[in-house]
Amino acid sequence: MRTRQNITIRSSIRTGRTAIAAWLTGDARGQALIETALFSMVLVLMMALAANFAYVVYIGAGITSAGRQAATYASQGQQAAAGSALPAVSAACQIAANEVNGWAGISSTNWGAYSASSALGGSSWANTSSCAGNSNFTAPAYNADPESAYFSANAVKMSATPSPLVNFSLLGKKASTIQPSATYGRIVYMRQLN
Amino acid sequence: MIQKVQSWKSTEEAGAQTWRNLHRCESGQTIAVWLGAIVVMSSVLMGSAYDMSVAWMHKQWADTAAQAACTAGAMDMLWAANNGIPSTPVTAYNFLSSTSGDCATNSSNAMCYYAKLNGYASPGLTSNASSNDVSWSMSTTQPTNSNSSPTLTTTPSNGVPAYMNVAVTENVPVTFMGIFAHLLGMRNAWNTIQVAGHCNCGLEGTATTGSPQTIAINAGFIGRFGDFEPIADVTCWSNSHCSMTSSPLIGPNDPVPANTVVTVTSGAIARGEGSASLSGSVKLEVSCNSGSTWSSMATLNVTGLGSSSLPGTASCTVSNTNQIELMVTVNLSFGSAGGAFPAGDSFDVQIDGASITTPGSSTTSMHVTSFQND
Repeated sequence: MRTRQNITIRSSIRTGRTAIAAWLTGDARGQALIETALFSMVLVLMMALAANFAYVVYIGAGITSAGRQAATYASQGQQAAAGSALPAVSAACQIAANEVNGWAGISSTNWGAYSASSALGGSSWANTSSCAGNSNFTAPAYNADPESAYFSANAVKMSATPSPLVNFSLLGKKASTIQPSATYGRIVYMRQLN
Repeated sequence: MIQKVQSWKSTEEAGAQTWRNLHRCESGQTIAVWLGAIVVMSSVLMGSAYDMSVAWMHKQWADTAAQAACTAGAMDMLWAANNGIPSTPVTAYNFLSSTSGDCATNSSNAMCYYAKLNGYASPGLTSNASSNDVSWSMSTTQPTNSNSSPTLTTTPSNGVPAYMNVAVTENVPVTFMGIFAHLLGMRNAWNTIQVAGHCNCGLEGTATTGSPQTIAINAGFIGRFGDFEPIADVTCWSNSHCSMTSSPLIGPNDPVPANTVVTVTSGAIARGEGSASLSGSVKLEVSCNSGSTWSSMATLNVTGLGSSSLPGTASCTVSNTNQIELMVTVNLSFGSAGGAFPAGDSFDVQIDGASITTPGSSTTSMHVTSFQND
């Protein structure tokens, strides 16, 4: 009994080197430890990659949703029965800002909202200065409403370059330098009655 | 000698034992099997997860495009309901005459335009290839489970249904699932995944239309020819034919409600006196101010002058600048050769009871809303 306890204790405190040596010499007592260690590294790496990929998908869905909500609000803001006036585009900006605030890799300089109508000249977007930082943002191509005397086209353009959610290290290199960096963008157009 | 042999045998057995240990089946089998299984399973799972994630993203885009297209169409419906007419402002984009359609075959409307702006040009679906399609339908009843209140449950006064459904369908190319399908012998079975976005939208609120407004034109004598008593704006030469344009009978810049469709329901009466061989035309022209210029000119024509009412109707739509103008233009000739007016002949143009009727004030309590996406 005492001998078995000693063996168990010795096995449990073996280093990886002694476990590998034991495995090579036919001692199966270190095998589970080796396998677990190997699998753990692979599984942790896979889970980290899966989490980062899921975060990219989440950012993409969130950007689509933010643009959609902002553009919808800009074109249909008078949801209240007594409402009549459409909200300013700056309000749509705020809707989009509320959606993206706090996301890793999203800053106030890489998204913006635009609107155009015949009242605005019908030839270019009215860049809304109230969208913080969007002066550095490239406006989408201008597309007028086909019935521009009566309707306006609103556009909300969002883009982001998300950072890895799990910035793990592999062989001394961070995931942010290993994983490919991509900018995800989406433009949503909605129509409003002038 | 025997000891040496035993020692050698002992050494040989020990080496063989080590070799057997290294290659013993139980020793490395588990990790090899698990590694292989994990590689295969993780490839399938992660590949499928990637493809499904991409498809899910396309589903979000299709939903957004469906909502944008539905909203755009409903905006046209709102404008038509507010103005009491079954047409869009620009007739080239009118889709309200039919209750359903597909952008692959009929793309000249707001739904298709906004679906295209949001990434869905709708060339039509192609099996096992990247493609998309946008279709719409209109209904007089609101969608179920819309939880919308107040709701417009009746068709607006213009007869156009109040609800619309837009479906955006897309065949999304897949990468890994296509490879797996090919490996399993299912050629082309999983080249694409079909996703669809739907949106129900429509008009919400109360449809009310104000009483029609009539702007009467004062009857009166506006011109005389033959005896050649020229008045302002009359241009005649050689006593053979003449043309004139009256001063504005209404306007310019007479206010009428915005987005009013102005219709002249009865015309003027033109009378020829003296010679019966006078011919020509009298035009009652209605023009509306669209921005900075007058446009949408429509005319009423009459030939073979006599005491007859000018037939037909003339109309134009007043834009948000609320201005309208109505004038009369006369073109006359004497005989088919355009001879001079005989001495003593005369010709009068008189407006008798023409009027302009507007359909009344528009509704103000209706708006567009999206009911649901699925």
